[in-house]
Amino acid sequence: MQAMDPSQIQLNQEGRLKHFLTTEGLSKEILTEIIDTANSFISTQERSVKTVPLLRGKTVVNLFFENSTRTRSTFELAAKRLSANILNLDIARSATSKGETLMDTLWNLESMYSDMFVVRHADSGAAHFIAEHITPNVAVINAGDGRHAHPTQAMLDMLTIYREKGGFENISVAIVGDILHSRVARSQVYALKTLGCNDVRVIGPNTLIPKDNESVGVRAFNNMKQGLKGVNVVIMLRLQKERMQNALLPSESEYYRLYGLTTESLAYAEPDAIVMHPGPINRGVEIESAVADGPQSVILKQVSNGIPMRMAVMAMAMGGQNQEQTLSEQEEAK
Amino acid sequence: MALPQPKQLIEKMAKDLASYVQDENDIVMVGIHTGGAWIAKQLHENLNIKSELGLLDISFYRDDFSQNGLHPSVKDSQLPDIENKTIILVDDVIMSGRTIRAAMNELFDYGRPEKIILACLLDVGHRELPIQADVVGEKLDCPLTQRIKLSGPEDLTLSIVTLEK
Amino acid sequence: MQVQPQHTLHIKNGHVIDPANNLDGIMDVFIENDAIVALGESPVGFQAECTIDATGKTIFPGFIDLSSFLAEPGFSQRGSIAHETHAAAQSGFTTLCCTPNTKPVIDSAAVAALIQEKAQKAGYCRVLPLGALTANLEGEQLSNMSSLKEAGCVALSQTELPFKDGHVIKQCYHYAAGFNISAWVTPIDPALAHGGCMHEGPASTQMGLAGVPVSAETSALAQHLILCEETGVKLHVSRISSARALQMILDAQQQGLPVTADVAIGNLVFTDEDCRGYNSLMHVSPVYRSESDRQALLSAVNDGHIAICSNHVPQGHAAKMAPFAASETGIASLDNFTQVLLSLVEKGELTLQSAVKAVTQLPASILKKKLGSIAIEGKADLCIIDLNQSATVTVDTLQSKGANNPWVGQTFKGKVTHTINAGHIVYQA
Repeated sequence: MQAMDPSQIQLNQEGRLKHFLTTEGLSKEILTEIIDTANSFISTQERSVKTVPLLRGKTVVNLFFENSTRTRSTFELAAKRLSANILNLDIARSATSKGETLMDTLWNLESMYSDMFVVRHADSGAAHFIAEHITPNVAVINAGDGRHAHPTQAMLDMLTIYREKGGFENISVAIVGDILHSRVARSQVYALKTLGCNDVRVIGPNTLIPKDNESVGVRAFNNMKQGLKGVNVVIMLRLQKERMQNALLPSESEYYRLYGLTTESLAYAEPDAIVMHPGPINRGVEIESAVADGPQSVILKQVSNGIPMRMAVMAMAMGGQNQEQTLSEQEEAK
Repeated sequence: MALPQPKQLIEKMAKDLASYVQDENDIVMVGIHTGGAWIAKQLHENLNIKSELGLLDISFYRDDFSQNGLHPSVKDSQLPDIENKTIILVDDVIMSGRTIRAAMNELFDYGRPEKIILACLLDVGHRELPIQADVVGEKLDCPLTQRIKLSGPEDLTLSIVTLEK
Repeated sequence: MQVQPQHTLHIKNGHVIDPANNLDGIMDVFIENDAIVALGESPVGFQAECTIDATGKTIFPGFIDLSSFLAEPGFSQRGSIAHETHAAAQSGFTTLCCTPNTKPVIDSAAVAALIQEKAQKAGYCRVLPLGALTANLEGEQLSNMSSLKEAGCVALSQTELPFKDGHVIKQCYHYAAGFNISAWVTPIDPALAHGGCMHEGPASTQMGLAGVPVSAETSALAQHLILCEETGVKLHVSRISSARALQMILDAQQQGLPVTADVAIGNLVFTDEDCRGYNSLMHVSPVYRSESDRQALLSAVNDGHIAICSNHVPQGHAAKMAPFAASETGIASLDNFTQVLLSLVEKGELTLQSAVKAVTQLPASILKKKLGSIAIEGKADLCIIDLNQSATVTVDTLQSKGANNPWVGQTFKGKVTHTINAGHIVYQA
């Protein structure tokens, strides 16, 4: 039972996306295609009829094992704007809490003939597990698995950077905060490197930076002043309060003093630097209100880019599944 | 089969469209990516249309998504306001008519046009839907095994491509 | 009147290899009842009741497994003594030490006796139970060590479960030493392990999985070694995983501490890179570490310092059908143990002599039993292997109840054709 690499399982025999599980291992061509497709969806969101008929007749199921109203509703809206039927399964409150295994939950859902699952789960590798064991022709979109990946968030961040900065090759990007526990950071790093960014940095205390950061090609800094020098894109990560309890950080105030993005610390970066945050933001914990609401912040643009990006990956994945099905039917007919 | 020169065909189309443009005030020209857009740019200049040129990508409205998935190079659609306007919809080659159907469906999601006039560089027959162009550069007989391709954006030229089995 | 032997066996023309007695050549083996009575020349008046033609095959001492979970009593969905010992016999094992983490735990003479009875009844493999070092394996109170020893437990183990604190460890060792009982542990500091499910390294970082740092093993090991020195208990470190821990043990042995160690076969074959793709069959305890750790462990086997155990932990089908960290740990390794061991020899990673020594002579000396060798008047525990025969692992060839064998579908060279336990043929291919 040799499990397939998550990045390979995402592509059909023509190399088209059929699941979206992780940014790791996807080629620059595919990542660029995702950004271009999302860009095209942006214009559809600006007109009065915001829907397109691509997923008409398809059923998309939101399988959220972890609570998240924001991400879930973004996916719901994206699905509706693709003309799909959407079903929200609040798993946290249903069978799984009664001890039903993930496998059994999946088998029960398969009988509902869905076309796509959007999955958020606390276990790293959960979306990959589902994609491996689900019936063929059902697309799986990873809405966040444990500490491993949050590829749609990373791609909407890439889209935002692309629209603000025009490209990835000549920019310097710094990700600040709890990298160790962040699935968003991991997905962002892979995307940035593949898209051609040569200077990706992580800034935080040693306890929040994974030991093997060099193995993914990023430079680590413990100091904001040094870390932000020459940086054009500052991505702030949310600091969870639990980190104080698990002997990872002394206090919120020390963290804010050293790593909070304030008007003063933002000045260490390039004057044209943009400020990003995957949200939800903790004002006064990792970011100063003045900066979050300030002229360099593109946080609200990130939010509005969320729906077109999710529409893009859902359309591409559904398309890849359709194509695969057609090709295998043609093979059988021969 | 000898292929015509696009430059001459565009001149002819401009002449034929002149009457439509003269009679109406609220004209918007919309070119369908990619070939239609190239032609529309030239026509737009030629006819001196005041409103901004609209560009339409129909990838999200194609009827073959279930078979072939999403087209790899989706371009941006940019349209000015089309509410109550007369649209001159421009494409390079009309064959089955499906592209035009998709374009019209998409246009109606942007607003309600007063009227749509279809102008195509070439009409190669083999309709699968009841759709006809109002202005045509030239009618050609093209066997089903071949397609006619327009290359651009500068020095527009036509070529024949034989389909692989 | 001469007493007639109840049972005689003649193995003809096999190539005998026994590192313990430096045997390496073609010779006949003559068995009466449960003992080897002659090697080479037939004893006078020997009448073979049964003959095995071992031409072209190799004869080794029956293998000894220092760690297998037999799942009985208490875990019938995962395995049973009959099934698992059958799998062991299929790999040429004649003696097996079962871990105490059954339900109930082997912390009473009754359970120890039950297991030995069931094993005897199944008749595939001799089972020497490892009793629990602490009551119910909870790591807080001493177990009934002396009665467990009397009931047949060959040593007492805490497996990888934690102790409440250093004081409990010291008291366990002190008490055990007084009865000459050997203490077995798999050292791991749960706080440093911090819920990790694989080796802490680049792979775990990229996969977003919590890792078990090497320091979780070495810092716990340091404490055990110091307390071993202080109490004089015979300490066996079961299933080490890192090069660093290995070095600490070798240094301790140099200093004259009574400490021995073994490594699981899986840790000689797999590394943390094999976890990529979230293959839950690679979710094991102790974890598979880096390639340099694996190389260090292989060297230690080649140098004759550590034994090899199967670390067989059968699981039911659903146990591995979950995302990596949520799946249960363990692989079912008994069925293919020997094929995998021989593949390491084939690849040149182990010499045949050291591989065999690690599963015969070394375990025997750790257990202080007269087993694991081929000698006149010694126990007739043997396995006959055709080193050239290939076999593919399919679900039908598996005897264990476990659904977590990571080698299904693979083809290996080297097949056990016979396993002889105390003179009786308990397995024949």
